[in-house]
Amino acid sequence: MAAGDEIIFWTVLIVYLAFLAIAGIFAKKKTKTLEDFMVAGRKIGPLLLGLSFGVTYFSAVMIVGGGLQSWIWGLGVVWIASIDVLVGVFLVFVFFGGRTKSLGKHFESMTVPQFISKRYEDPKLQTFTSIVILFFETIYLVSIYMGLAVLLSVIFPTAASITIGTVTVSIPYLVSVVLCGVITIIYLTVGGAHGAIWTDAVESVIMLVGVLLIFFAGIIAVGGFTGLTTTLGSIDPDLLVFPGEGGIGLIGYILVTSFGVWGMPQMISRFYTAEKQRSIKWGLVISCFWAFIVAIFAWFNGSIARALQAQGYPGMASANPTNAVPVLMAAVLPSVLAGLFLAAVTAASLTTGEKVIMIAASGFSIDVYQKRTKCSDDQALKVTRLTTLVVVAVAVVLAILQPDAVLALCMFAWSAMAAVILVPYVFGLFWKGGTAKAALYSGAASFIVAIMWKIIFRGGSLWAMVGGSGAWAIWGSLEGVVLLGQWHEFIISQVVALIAFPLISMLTKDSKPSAEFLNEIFSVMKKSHTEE
Amino acid sequence: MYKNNLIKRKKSVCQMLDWTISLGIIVGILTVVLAVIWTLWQEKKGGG
Repeated sequence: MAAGDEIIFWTVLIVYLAFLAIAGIFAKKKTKTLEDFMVAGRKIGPLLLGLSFGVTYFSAVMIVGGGLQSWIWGLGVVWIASIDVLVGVFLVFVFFGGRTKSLGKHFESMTVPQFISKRYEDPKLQTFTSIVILFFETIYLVSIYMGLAVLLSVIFPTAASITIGTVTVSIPYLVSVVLCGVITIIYLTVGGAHGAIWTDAVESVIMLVGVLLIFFAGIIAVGGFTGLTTTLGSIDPDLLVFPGEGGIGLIGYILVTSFGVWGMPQMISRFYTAEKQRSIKWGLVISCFWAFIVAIFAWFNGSIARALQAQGYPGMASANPTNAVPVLMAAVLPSVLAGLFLAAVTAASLTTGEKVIMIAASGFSIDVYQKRTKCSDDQALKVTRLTTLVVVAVAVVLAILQPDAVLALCMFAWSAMAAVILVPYVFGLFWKGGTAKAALYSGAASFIVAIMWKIIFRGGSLWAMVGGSGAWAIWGSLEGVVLLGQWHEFIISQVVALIAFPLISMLTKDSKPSAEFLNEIFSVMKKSHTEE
Repeated sequence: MYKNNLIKRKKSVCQMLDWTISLGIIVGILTVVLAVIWTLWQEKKGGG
C-alpha cells in the first residue's frame, strides 16, 4: 500500500472509531437499567433488528473469510448463501422469533442461560450453559480478532514486526487490535446493547457497499460471467457445478453455517431486543433481503479472484485462498477506493465481536454472579461492565499472543456452544415433554461427542500442535478415518443431542416442569402469533 | 428496446451458469419473496 493510501486507511479507521465513541455516548442516555444495557430496553424496531440480526450472522469477517471456500470449491458456494438465508434467517424468524420474544419477556430473561433455566425450571442449567458460553464466546472473539491478521497482511505486506516472547506480531495488527479493544471497552461499557445495535447499522451499510463494489469491479475485470465460467472451467470443470469440487465437505459446511445459528446465543438474544411482534415480522423481510444480497455476491468473490489470477490479471499474482478477497479488492478497485474499503472492512470486523463480548460478559455477571449473590440489577450492571472490560482485555492479549491451545479451541467454539444450547432451546419452544435433566445430560453428551469427534477424526492440526503429526499421518490416512473425518463435529454432536434429549426426557419425567407452568408458557407463546 | 436487452442479458447469465448454480440462486430469491408473503399474511391475520 502506498504512503498516501496508508493515510487514508488510518484516517478511515480513526473516523470509524470516533463514531463508535460518539455512538456510545449517545447510547448512554438510553442506558439506565440492566435491561437497557443487555437488551436495549426491548425497544428495537424492525429496521435495526433486521440489520442487527444480519450483521451478527454474516459479520464483516465473512467478506474476507468467505473467499477461502469460494476459491477452493468454486461457484457451488452460492448454495451456502441461499440455504443460510432460508434456514439461518427465514426459518429462525418464522419459528423461533415470536416465541423467543414472548417467552423472553414473560420470563424477564436477558440471557440465553437464564431463558433455558427458567424454561426447564432448573437453576443448574443456567450455571452449566453460562460457563460454556463465557469460555467459548471469549475464544470465538479471539478468532474474530485473528481473522484480521490476514486482512492487515495484505494492506501492509512489508510492515515491521515486533517479537513478544516467542511470538512475532506485525505492528499494524498490534495497533489495530489494541486500539479497537480499547474503543470497544469504552463504547460497550457506556452504551451497551443500544451502542452495539447502532454500530451494526453502520457495519451493514459498509458491508453492502463493499461487497457489491468488489463483485461488480471483479466481474467486469474477469470478462463478465462468460470470462468467469470459461476460466474456472479451464482450471477444473467441477468448479462450475454444485456440489462439484466441494463434495460432502460443502454440504457439511452448509449444514453447520445454517443450522448452527439456531444454537448461537448472540443470534437468539437479538429477539429479546424486539419492541413488538411486528418488529420481528418486518425485521424478517429486512434481514432476508440484506443477507441474501450480501451473501450471494460475497460468495462469488473468491472464485472471481481465482479466475483473475489464472488470467494473469495485474496485482493478482500473490493471491491465495486465504487472502483472495483483500487482494482482489486491491487489484480491481481504484487505489483510493481500495484503501477506503479495506479500512472500513477492517473497522467493521473489529467491532463485529461486540455482541459476542456482551454475551460472554453476561455469562458471568448475570448467570453466575447475580444468580449466586442475588444482588440488585444496578450491582449486576456494574459487574457486567467490569466483566466486559476483562473479556475484551483477555481476548486482545490472546489474539496477540495466539497460543496454540487457543488456536485449537477456536476450531470448535461454534460446535461446543451449539452442543449445549441448540436442542434444549428448540425443543423447549415446541415440546412440553422436555425435562431439565434431559437438557443437562444431552447437552453434556453432545459437548463431549463434539470434542472427541474433532480430536479423533478431524484432528490433524490438533495432533500436530502436541507433536503428534507422525502418528496422525498413519491414523489419519486410514480409510475409515478419512471417511468419518468428512463429517463436521457439529453435525455428529447435534444428532447425538437429537436422539438423547427425547430419550432422557422420557426416562426422567420427575424433573419435568409442572403441567400448570407448561400450559401457561405455551399459551404465552401461542398468543405471540396474534400480537401486534 | 432497453427491456429486450435486459431480458436478453438475464437469459444469457442463466445460460452461462450451470443449472445447479442457477437453482441455488433461485432458492435464495424465492426465500426473500416467501419472507415478504409470510409477513404480509401475518399482518393480515393479526389485523383480522
